[in-house]
Amino acid sequence: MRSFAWCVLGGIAALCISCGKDHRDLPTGFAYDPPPAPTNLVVTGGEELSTIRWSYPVPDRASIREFRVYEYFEAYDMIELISTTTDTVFVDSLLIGNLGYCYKVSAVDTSGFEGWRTGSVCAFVRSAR
Amino acid sequence: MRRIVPFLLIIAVSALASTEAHSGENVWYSTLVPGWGQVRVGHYGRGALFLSGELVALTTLAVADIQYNRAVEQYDRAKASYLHATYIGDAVGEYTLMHERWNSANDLYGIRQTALYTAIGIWAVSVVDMILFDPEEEPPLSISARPDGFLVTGSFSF
Repeated sequence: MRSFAWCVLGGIAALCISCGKDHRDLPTGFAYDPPPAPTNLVVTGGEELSTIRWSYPVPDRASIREFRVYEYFEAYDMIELISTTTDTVFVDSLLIGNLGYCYKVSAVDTSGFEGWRTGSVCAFVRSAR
Repeated sequence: MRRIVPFLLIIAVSALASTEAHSGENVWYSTLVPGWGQVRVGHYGRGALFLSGELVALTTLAVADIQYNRAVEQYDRAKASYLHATYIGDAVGEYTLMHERWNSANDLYGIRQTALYTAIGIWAVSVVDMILFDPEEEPPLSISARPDGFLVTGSFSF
């Protein structure tokens, strides 16, 4: 009987050793290296259009696939992608006049990963005469 | 959990073989339900203690297992969102969420394992208690003090 008791205790010890973690290991470290955000964002309102300009460091341009231009709806804190471009200027046309328009811009690297968006910059768009 | 089953089977089969060899029927009852053998020999307090402890441990184990599996699913979802994020803002948010979910799953895993080991421990103690202190079983060799010396008694069964 004592040998059986030892068998039970041995079995439990083996059980404790065999039970590893069932959930998978947590990925270590933050794996993303985002492209830097565009700088000096300027929005100029025109007649039913707005011109958005920004600058981007020349050394980083080689690793950039495109820039994404977003319209930012301040009242709802929402953004909408309106276009992509490889240039550092974009003209948003066919706008409704007498309204303010806000924009954000971000850079996308060659692997398709999007960096931080800029802060929003707004401009007033006039009606056509 | 799947790894536990063979060990439980081994222990149960060993208990069965042991009880067949020694005719300690109550050990088998305690192997089936912790505390049952103790109740059969009249140790009601001890039997109730084993039985209630086992029930509490198994209930905790079942609840913790369900919650743990749910937490692992949430963690897997957060991890997939993080790994598939294409915007740095989303990646940062999902990374934080993934850590929170992992911590939650890890906590529940700890509770589940504690409940599991407690259940196994109570079961094992109940079986061992029945093996060592089963009054039905005659010790093969005993010694008792007498005024004029010692009496050694041997017994055998066939």
